[in-house]
Amino acid sequence: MRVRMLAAAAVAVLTVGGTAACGGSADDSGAVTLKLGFYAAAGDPADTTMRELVKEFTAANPSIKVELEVAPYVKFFERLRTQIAGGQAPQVWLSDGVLVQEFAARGALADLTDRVKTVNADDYSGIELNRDAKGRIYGFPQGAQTPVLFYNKKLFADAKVAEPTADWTYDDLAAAAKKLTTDTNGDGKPDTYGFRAYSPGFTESWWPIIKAFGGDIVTDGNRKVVVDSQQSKAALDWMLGAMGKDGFAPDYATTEGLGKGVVHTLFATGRVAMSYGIYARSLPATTAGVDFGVAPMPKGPAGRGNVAIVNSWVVNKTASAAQADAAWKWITFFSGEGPQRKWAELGEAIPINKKVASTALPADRHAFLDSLDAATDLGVNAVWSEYTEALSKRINEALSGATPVDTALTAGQKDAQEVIDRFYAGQTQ
Amino acid sequence: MRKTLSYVLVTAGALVMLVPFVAALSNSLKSFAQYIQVPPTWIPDPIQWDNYVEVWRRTPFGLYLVNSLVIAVLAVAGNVLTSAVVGHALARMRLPGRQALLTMALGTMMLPTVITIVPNFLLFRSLGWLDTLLPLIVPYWLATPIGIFLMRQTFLGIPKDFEEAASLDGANPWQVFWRIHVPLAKPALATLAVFTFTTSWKAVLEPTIYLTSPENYTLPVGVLSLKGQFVGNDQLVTAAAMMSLLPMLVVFVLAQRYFVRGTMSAGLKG
Repeated sequence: MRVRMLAAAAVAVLTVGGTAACGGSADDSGAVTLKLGFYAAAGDPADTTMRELVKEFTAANPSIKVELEVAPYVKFFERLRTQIAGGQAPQVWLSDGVLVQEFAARGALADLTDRVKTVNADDYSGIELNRDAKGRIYGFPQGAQTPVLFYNKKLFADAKVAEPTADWTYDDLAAAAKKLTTDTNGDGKPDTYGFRAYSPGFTESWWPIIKAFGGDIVTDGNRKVVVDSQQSKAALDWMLGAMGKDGFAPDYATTEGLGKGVVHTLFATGRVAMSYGIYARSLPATTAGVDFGVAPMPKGPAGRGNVAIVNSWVVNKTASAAQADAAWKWITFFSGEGPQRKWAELGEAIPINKKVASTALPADRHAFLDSLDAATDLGVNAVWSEYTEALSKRINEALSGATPVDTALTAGQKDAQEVIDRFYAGQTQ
Repeated sequence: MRKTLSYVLVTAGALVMLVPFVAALSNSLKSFAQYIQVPPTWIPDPIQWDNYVEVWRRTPFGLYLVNSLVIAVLAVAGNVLTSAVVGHALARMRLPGRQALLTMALGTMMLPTVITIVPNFLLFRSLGWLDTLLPLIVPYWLATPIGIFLMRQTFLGIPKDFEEAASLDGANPWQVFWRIHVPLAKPALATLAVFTFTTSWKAVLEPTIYLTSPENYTLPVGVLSLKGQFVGNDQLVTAAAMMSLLPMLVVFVLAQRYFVRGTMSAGLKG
């Protein structure tokens, strides 16, 4: 009896499972199967909307069959990297904008430069932010993120502080933030801070601040690290003052101790009255019922330091010609007015279709559009994740007070440059 | 007095251990706004039972449960059977190079999963097993290093007298293994079964890499599939995690006796 049960189990092992996913180029009838990957949480509005758009697309293009591969952000890219190594990646997928060049440099992406020439570039935001040092374009924008200044209207009204304007400087920000910092329970520690200066997501923290103070992070096609400058030092000193002697921002240890996910809820829970935030930060604030406004980031000695990330559709280099054509058809479909308007309703990203963006965003959110227009890219190159991690580590040492700013900037520049040089040494592309 | 103090200490320890569980239960019943509230509250107001309904609405949660159960049960069957056979051979049979074989098997334990994931991916791809449950089951039918080691140590601890007596009565090696040694190794087999079940049940990396269709997801992958990028849906993730705990709790309660006994006997005899 036991032996029979074991035999049955063995048979079950061999019979469990479905069929392996198969891609495929165009068959004799001209039908083509396209595997399309994107990141979204199961059942989230983004997931539902994307599926609806895919249905619309396949209804309009009956010769194209789309198979979806969806996973939450982190898991999507974890799986994708293995799929690329194993030659099993989708033919078209949604990439985080900062990862496009990483995939391209490893030979995973088709060059879209010629295809992009067929569209009117003036109709879309972010195309140029995707251009690499050699002028090639490997991704077409899907949605954009750029930081602006979020402010809590109720906290401003309660403290009788005038709301931020486009003329604000970093001094104005500091003055308002000090007034907004309050200790209501008298324990000697503020319950509400005026501003969140540090964030592990540096797009909303030291990166734009360094640029606003006249420093820069990388130049020369994003291959030369130049962060070690007096301007960068001034920027980090301003942040240290905010978190230290001026006391209007939670310090590094407090913020870092919250964990990456919770840091982004500091504004949504009213623990900070102002925060730099990308467009997507509207979602938790709205969900938590915060009455907020957005304003341009304040002016520093060298401007506002606007930066942007353009999440983009990319096409697998191993896709057949028919699949690549179908993928491009999907990309142009998604960039069209109807789909862009539908996607904009999610409030997750700034539409890259300029016509849609100008009408879909309420007038009091146009700071995002101005910021996007003025933005530079986030120092994207083939080793973006690695070099920014090396640099962040050193800058965080400075912001935590563990290392003098000068020393940290010098070490950060050296470490980040080594990462870049190691990759590009001997590279022809 | 001493007994009372022991009970107080044990109860206090148990209560401390329960805190994360109670916190998770509380979080699973909050709205997003309550979830991120600082300071956090212990009792949700209002209680969001809907979170549990929402998990089932958003995902084929029942399928995740079935997939995880199928994988875990077949993994246990495979690992217990094959590890026992291999462990027995290495412990009781005169094989040339058996020590080297054992060392090699144990050596593979030193390799982190991330190192082997791409070669395994290529292997399963060539077999046409991607997006099926097979990559998560079949490797357990090839014996695992930890299973081999545990069973070898167990079989080494059984006196040879039993084996010799059975042989004198005409038992062949398979009968000695199946009728004499396996019954004596039940506690260790139970330990291996529980260990295999928990390892398989909570695996995240491999199912994430190999499974792409939601209908093939396991529970951990399904739970994590609810995690949002900008609004974390943490209350839903926690509700799903609480539900995925239940089968594990049942297994632990049912197998607790074997688990403890197995651990003790393996420790004493090994």
